[in-house]
Amino acid sequence: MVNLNKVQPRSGGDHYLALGIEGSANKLGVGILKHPMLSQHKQGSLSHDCQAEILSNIRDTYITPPGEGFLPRDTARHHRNWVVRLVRRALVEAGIEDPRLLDVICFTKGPGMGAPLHSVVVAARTMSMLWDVPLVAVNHCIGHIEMGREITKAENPVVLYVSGGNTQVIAYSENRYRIFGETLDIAIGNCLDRFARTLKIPNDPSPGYNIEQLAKQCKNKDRLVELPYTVKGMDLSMSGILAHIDSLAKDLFRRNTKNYKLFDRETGKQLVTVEDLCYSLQEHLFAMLVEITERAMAHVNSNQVLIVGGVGCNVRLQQMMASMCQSRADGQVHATDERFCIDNGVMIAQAGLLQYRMGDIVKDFSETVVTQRFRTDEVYVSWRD
Amino acid sequence: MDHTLHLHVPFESARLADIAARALAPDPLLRPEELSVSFASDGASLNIKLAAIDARVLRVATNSIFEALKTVVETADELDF
Repeated sequence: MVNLNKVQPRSGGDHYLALGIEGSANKLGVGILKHPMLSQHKQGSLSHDCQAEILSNIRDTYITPPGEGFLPRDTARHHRNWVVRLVRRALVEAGIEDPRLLDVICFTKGPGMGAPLHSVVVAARTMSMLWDVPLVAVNHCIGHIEMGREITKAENPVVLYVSGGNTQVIAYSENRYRIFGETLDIAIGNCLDRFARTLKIPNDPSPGYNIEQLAKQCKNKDRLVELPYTVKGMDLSMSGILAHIDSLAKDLFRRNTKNYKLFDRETGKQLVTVEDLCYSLQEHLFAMLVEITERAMAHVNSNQVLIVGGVGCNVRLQQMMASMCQSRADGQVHATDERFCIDNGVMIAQAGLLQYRMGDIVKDFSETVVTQRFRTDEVYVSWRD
Repeated sequence: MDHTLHLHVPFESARLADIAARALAPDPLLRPEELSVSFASDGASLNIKLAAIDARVLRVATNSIFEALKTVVETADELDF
């Protein structure tokens, strides 16, 4: 039994208000969230059904030119330039005139890039002191999981967390989100982003989205370009796939007709297009994800999957996961759209507010030091049975 | 560490100078053997003392402190209700 009503709301009223600030990668997100204080939350396990109301959810993405990734220094500068303006807009949109009525300010402690994380926490600390509102340090991955649970109302799903920096299959057990399988080298989003750079396609709105659009235009869906398939037990490896498809793309651009995978041996006619490469890359990567997710479902005897993280908006990934689930005892896939899949401030507010309601707040600013490495299973999940 | 720099940053009030010192102080330095930094407020002034092994380390540290300080000042300017 969990009592989520341990802490009295600050306003003395019937609801909690949380401000969440996220800046662990190239997105800066600010969100404001409201939880009603309800008697059914006094006992039971209802952390997936807080009846959260999103008062504002604003994001500004640092977008680099085609062919370039985002560097920590430049990303941190972007966040410093925008954080105050975004917080101001979020407060206005939420109709909060006096931020001293907030219950809590939640920020991302990690994992992520050090410099962008730091630029955000400095602003969070300042606001906490200006308004006399407590801080809560949130693990970014836990933010994704809790937002996904709240939006989809999936009570105890196997979580597939796929983004630019993380690839993990997670299941809950005894107060921890335990990592069943993960990438051994680069994240799936990183693999897609870097292939997008090789192709020199735009990073706006996101490189993965543009790969998805190209893949949709593939005209030879029945003829996959063969790539490595690297599932290792419950884990994945993607760096070899990236190196392989990068070299294929370069041969294609150079018109290296000696590469018979791409050009006909006799006539030299081009057999494969950029769209075909995008399609094949997605099919291979997503099939690997589906395989380990299915195995995790068998382990924990669950028939729900929750997909979170930026790559989770990919409709093809959702489709493939759904067809696996359907063939397994009527399972369901839960996914959210880009507002909640892609990094945002509300998810930090959601996880942070759950922590706050269980009495977990920052007591000394030494606890607010950000960290690039912060594993999902390091967090004690007090708000679940 | 014989390369030193003392900065005095004036604030509107002692409260804001104190907030700035406490917002900047918690973060540990990457190479404590090359650099030491201390933040303190004295009335409405924020006093920053840096000591580094050479001029380059001192410049880099000063730059990054000013970047963080800018965030604090902007937050206080725009969001102090």
